[in-house]
Amino acid sequence: MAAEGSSGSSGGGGGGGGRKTPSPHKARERGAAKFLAGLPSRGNFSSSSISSNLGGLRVYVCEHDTNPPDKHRNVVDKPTKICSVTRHPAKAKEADVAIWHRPLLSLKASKEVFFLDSPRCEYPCPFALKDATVRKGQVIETDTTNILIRHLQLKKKESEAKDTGSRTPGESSKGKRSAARSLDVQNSSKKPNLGSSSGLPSSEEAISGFSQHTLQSFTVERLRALLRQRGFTTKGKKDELITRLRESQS
Amino acid sequence: MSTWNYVVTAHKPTSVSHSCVGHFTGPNQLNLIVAKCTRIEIHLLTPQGLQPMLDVPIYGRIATIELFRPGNEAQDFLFIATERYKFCILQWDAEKSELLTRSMGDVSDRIGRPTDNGQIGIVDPDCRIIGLHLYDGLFKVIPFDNKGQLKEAFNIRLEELQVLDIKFLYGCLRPTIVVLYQDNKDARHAKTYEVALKDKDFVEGPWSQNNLDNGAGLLIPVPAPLGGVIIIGEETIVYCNANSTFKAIPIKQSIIRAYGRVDPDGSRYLLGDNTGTLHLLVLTQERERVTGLKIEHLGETSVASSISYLDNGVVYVGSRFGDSQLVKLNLQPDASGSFVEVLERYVNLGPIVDFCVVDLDRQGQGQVVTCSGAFKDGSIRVVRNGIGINEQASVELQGIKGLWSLKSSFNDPYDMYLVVSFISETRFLAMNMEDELEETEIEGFDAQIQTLFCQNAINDLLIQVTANSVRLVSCTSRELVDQWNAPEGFSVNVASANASQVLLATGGGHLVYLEIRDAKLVEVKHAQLEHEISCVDLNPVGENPQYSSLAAIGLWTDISVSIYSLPDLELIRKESLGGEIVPRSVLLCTLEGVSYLLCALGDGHLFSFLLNASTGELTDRKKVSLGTQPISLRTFSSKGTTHVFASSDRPTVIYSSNKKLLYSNVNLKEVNHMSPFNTAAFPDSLAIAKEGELSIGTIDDIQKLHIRTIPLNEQARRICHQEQSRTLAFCSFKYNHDSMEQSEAHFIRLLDHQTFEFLSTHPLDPYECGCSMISCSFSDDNNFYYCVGTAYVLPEESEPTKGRILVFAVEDGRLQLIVEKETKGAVYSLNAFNGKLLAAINQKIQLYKWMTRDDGSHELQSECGHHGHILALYTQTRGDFIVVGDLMKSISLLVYKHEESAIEELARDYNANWMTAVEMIDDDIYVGAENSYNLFTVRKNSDAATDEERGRLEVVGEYHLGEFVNRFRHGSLVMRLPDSEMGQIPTVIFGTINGVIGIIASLPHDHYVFLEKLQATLVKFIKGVGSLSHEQWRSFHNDKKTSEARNFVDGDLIESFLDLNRGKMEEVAKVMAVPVEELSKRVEELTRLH
Repeated sequence: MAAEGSSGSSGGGGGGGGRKTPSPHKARERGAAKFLAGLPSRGNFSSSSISSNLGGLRVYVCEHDTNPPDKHRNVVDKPTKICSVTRHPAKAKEADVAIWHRPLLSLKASKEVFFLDSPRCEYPCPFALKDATVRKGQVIETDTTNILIRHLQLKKKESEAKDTGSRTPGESSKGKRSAARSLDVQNSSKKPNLGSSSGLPSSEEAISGFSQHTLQSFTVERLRALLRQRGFTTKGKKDELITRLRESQS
Repeated sequence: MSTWNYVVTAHKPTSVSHSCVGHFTGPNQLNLIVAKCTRIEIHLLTPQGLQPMLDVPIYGRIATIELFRPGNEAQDFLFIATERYKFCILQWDAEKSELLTRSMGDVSDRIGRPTDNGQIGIVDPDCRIIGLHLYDGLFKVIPFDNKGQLKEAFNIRLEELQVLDIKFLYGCLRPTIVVLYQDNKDARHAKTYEVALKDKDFVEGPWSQNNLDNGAGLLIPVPAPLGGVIIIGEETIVYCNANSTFKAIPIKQSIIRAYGRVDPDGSRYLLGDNTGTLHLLVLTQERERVTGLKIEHLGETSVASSISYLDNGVVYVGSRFGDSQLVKLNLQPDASGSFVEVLERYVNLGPIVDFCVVDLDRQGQGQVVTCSGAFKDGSIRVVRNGIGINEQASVELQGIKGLWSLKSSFNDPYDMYLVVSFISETRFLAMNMEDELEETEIEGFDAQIQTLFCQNAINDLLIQVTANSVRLVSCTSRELVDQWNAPEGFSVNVASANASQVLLATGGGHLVYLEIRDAKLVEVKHAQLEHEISCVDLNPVGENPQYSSLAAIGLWTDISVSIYSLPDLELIRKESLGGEIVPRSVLLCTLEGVSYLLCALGDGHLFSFLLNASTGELTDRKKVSLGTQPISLRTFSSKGTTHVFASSDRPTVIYSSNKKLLYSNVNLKEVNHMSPFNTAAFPDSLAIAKEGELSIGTIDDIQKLHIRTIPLNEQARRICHQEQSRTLAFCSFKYNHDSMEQSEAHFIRLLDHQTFEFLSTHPLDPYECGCSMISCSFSDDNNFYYCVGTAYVLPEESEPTKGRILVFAVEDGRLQLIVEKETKGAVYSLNAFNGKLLAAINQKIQLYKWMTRDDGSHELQSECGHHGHILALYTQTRGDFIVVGDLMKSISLLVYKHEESAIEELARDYNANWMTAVEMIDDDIYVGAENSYNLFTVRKNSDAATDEERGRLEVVGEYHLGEFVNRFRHGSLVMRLPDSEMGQIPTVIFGTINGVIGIIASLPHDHYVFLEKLQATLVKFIKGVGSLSHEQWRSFHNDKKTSEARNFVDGDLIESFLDLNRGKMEEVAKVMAVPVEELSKRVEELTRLH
C-alpha cells in the first residue's frame, strides 16, 4: 500500500504534474475545504470514537407469511385480459384451501394464473395462501395488450384525427379538435390521481369521442362493426350508418 | 461416487453493488441499506456509528434497490428488482421486527431482448410510477394509485435501443424520464419523455440534448427547485434542464462509476471514479438557478460501486473490487492533501478470480488463498476456518493432568500464577517482573500431590482441592489459613469451586458441600447419591457472580446429568443422557445473557441445554459431536465476552452469536487441558496443555472464518502453491493510469507461503498476460516446477494467436526460467498429466513431453493433441481422463491412449452452456458452472448399451447458484477427521465474483433424500422475503431453458433450520417424523462441513 499512498500524495500534494502550478492547486485545496463546510448532519456519527462494531448482524429468517396484503386493492380487472387476477368465488371462503399456482416452467410466459382444485399443492407454491383471510394480494401483472398494437392504435387515432381535419377544412373542426385535445390533456393530467380508471383504451370511450369527420373516414366495415356492437341494424348506406351511429351517441 | 450434492455458502457475498440511505425501520431511524448480490444488509445510524441490524437473504440476484416514500407514509419502503424479472416492495414492521411484502410481481415479458447495459429500476420522486428498463426498446411502468398501492403494469415502446441510463426528473407535473442513449453512429444523446398514464404512452418531453461526451454514462437528477439533470461523461460534466440552462465543465479523464448526493437540495454530490478517487461536485447557484459546476478532488477510497452519504460527514463507500469503507470527510486536508479519512473497512473477497487450497499447518485443514479484488484494490486473501491460537511461548512438560490460573489478589484484573498439576505433584509458575514465567512456591499449598481444583476465593484466599483435603491459603502471606480433610477411607475424586463455594465428590456417591465463611471452610451439607459421581460444576450463572444456587452433577452408571440446588443439595432436575458413555465434564455458563448447561461425554459428544438460572429448568436439549476423545470444558473470556473452550482431540471453541451456540474448531491438534491466563504482558491469553507441552497463546477474534489480507496494489489473476519450495506463485497485472495511453504490465511473482513476503518477480513481455499456472513435476525428473501459460493479447487481434509456456524452477527463493515454449494461441489451462504437461491452447488440447537434452537442459516437446473446441478454457484431469470446459459447448470428456499416444473424445454434453469453471468430482461425475449463474453435474455413461449413449454425458444435476463461479478446487476448509462420518464426504470448494466461497459436498443417497425432504419441509416454514419463491430461485435458468433444480439441495436453506425458534423446529421435526434433537444434530453436522 506504500506505493498507493505515495501516488495518492503525488496526486494531492505535489500538484500532480498535469495541473498548472502549485499555487492554484493550493487554492483548490482550500476550495474543497470551503465546499465541504456545512455537511448535513442529523446527529449521527457525532461520537468522538466512531466504531461500526456495535453488535452482530442477525440473519433474517422469514417465518411469517410474505404474501402481499390485499387492503385497498382497487385494480379493476378487465374481463378481456387472460392474465388478470380474478377472485375465485368458490374458493374465496376456503382460505386454507385456496392455493393458486404458477407453473414453474412458464417463468417467462407466466401470465396464466389458475386455481388448483386439490387442497394442497404438491410442491411449495409461491403464493400459498395460509392465512385466515384470503389474500389475493398486490401481485402485479403486466398489461398484455401487444405494445405495438397499442402504439399503432394510438398512432392511427392521431393520424385519423389529423387526416379528417385536413380533408374537410370547411367545418369548425379545427377548433373543435383542439378543444377536444385540450380536454384530453386536462383529463390525462388529472387521471393519475383518480386512480381507478387507468386510462382504459376501450372502444366505448373512443366511439363517444368520434366526430362526424372521424366517422366519415371509417370504412363501412368498421361502422357496421361499431353498430353491431351497439345492437343496431347494420344495413344501409354509409351516410345512414353514420347518422345512426351519431344518434346512438347522443 | 455420488450425484447428490449439497451446496452451501461458507463465506457470504461481500461485494457491494448498491446502497441507499433512508428511514426504513422507523420514522425516526435512519438506515443504511446495502445490497450484496443475493443479500440485503440493514444498518442503523447512531451517534456511535453504524449499528448492524439485519442480514436478509433474497431469493434472487438483486438488480436494483431503491428507497421511496409515498406521500402519506411515515417511513420509507424498499423497492427491489431481481435479475430474473421479479420485483417486490418491502415494508418494515417495527412492532414485530418483520419485513412485510406490500406488493410483488413478475415483470418479465414474453418477447424482448434483455438489455446489454444492465437492468434499470427507478421510482418517480413523487411516487407516481415505478419505471423499469429490462428489455431493449421497452420501458415498463408500474403506476401507483392515490393510496400508494401499485396498479397493473404496462409497457411503453422506447425508440432508443441502446440505453445507457434512465432517471426520473424532479419537480415535473407529469412523471418525466430522461434517457441517456447511444445512436447507431455511437454518438450519445439525452432525451426526455413524459409518461402519459392514460394513453400508456410517452409524450415528447420538455427538452433534449444531443451530441454529448462520447463517454457519457451516468445521469444524476437534481431535486427541485433546481431540477434538471447532471450528465457525467469521461471528459466533461454537463448540467442541463428544461429552461435550457446548459453548464459544462471539463474533468480529468476518468470513468465515474458511482455518485452519492450530499445535500437534500442537490447542490453537492460525491463522485467515485474507476481509479478509486473521490470527487466533490458542486452546483453553484443563484436564486434557484444553476450558475456553474465545480469539481474538487477529495482523496482516495476503494474503487466505488456505490456511494451513500450517511450523516455528519461520514460516507459509506460500497465496492465491488475492494473492501467497502466507511470514510469521513474532513474539513481540512491531511498531510498528503486528502480530505478522506477511512474509519472502517469491511472485508470483501470479491471478485475471487482464482484461488488455491493449501494446508500450511499440515494438520489436514485447508486454507483458501484467493486472488481477490481488482485494479488497485487487488489483494491476496488467506481464508481460514476456525479460531487460531497464536503461540507466544511453550515449554516441554510431560504428563500434565490439570491447569489453573490464580490471581495474586481477588480483585486483581490479571492472573499471576499458573498451577500445573501432575500425577503425583503440583507445580506453580508465576509471572516475574520481566514478564517471564518462572517456577515459584505457594507455601500453603500441597505440592506433593495431584491438584484436583484451584480457585481464587473471596477475602483474598486461594483454594486448592486435592484427593485428601481442601486447603484455604491467603493470597498475601501464601500461608495455610484453613483446611478441610476428607474423611478416613474416602478420597476426593472430583471437585469444583467458585469464589465462595466448594463442591466435592468422594467415592461411593458422596457429595460434600463446603462454603467459605470468614476465611473458614464450613461443611454445610452432605448427601449421598445413588451412583458414583463423574463430574461436578458450580460456576455461578445467577446474578451473584460469587455464589451459585445451582450445581450440575454428572453420574456414572445411569449416565445422567442433574441440577441440584445449593446449599441444601436437593435434586431439581435430572436429565438422562442415554447411551453408555459417561459424562466427563459439566459446565454451567452464561453466554450473551443466556444460561446453558453443557455436558461433555467421554466419546467427544456434547449435550447442551438451555438453563433457567432461577428455577433450574433444562430445555432445548441438543447433541453435537466435537471429537472422539473425552472433552473437558472451561470458560474463558476474550475481549470482554465469555466463551467456552472444549479440550479434546479436536479442540473447539463454543461461542454464542445471535443467542445461538456456535462451534468453531481451533487450529491445534490435541489439547488436554486449557486455562485462561490473562496477564498484563499477554492479555486474554490461554495456557494450553498438549501432549508433552505447555504453551501460552493468544486467541483470534471469535468468528467462524478468518481472513488475512495481503494488499498487492495490482490485480492477481492466477495463484498456485508449491509445497516443496514453500512458496506461492501468482500472475498479476497492473494498470498504468498515469500515461496518456492506458497500459498494463503483467508479472509472475513469488511469495513465501508462511510470511507472504515477496521473493521474486518475473516480468512478462509487453502485451503478454498470464492465463494459467500450475506447480508440477515431470516423469524422470524429481524437481517441482511452476508452469505458466501466457497469451499475447494484441489490440488488433480478436483472439490471441501467440502464447508461451514458461517453466520456472524455484532456486534460493528466486524464479529461474528453465524452459520456454512458444504456442499458437493463448494457453488457457495447464494440467499435470501422467508426468507430462497438458495445455489447452485456443481450440486445441495439446500434450507436451518433458525431454532432457544431452547437455542436461530440458525442453517441452509436443506429443499429441486434440481439436474440436470453440475455445478450450478449462481442463481437469484424473488418471487418463481429461474433462474440458468449452467457451460455449459445455463439458466434454477426452481420454489419453498410451499405446497410440493420442487423445480422443469419449463423450460430451450436447447442451450449449457457456462454461466458467469445471471440476471432476470423481471418475464419473463432473461439475460445471456456466455464465448464467448455474451449476450442473454430468455423468459418464460408460455402461450404456449403445455407442451413442456412451458418447453423451448425461446431465444428472441442475441448480441455480446465483453466483458466477470462477474456480472449483477439491479441498476442505475444515479439519477432516478420518473416523467421523462427515470426514468421508468429498467436497469441492468454489469461489465467485461476489466474494462467495462455497462448498459442494457429495452426499450418500439416503442422506441426500433426507435433506431433500427437509428442504421441501423448510420451504413451507421459511418464506422467501418479498414472497419470492425458493423453488423458482433455485431452478436452473439460462436464456435457453429453465428447469427445476435436481440432485442439489440448498444448504443455506437447510442450515437456516438452526435459526428457527424452538416451536417451529419442533413443527418441522414433526413433519419430518424425526426427533427435533436428532434433526438439529444432523443439520449441525452439516454446518461443520464449512
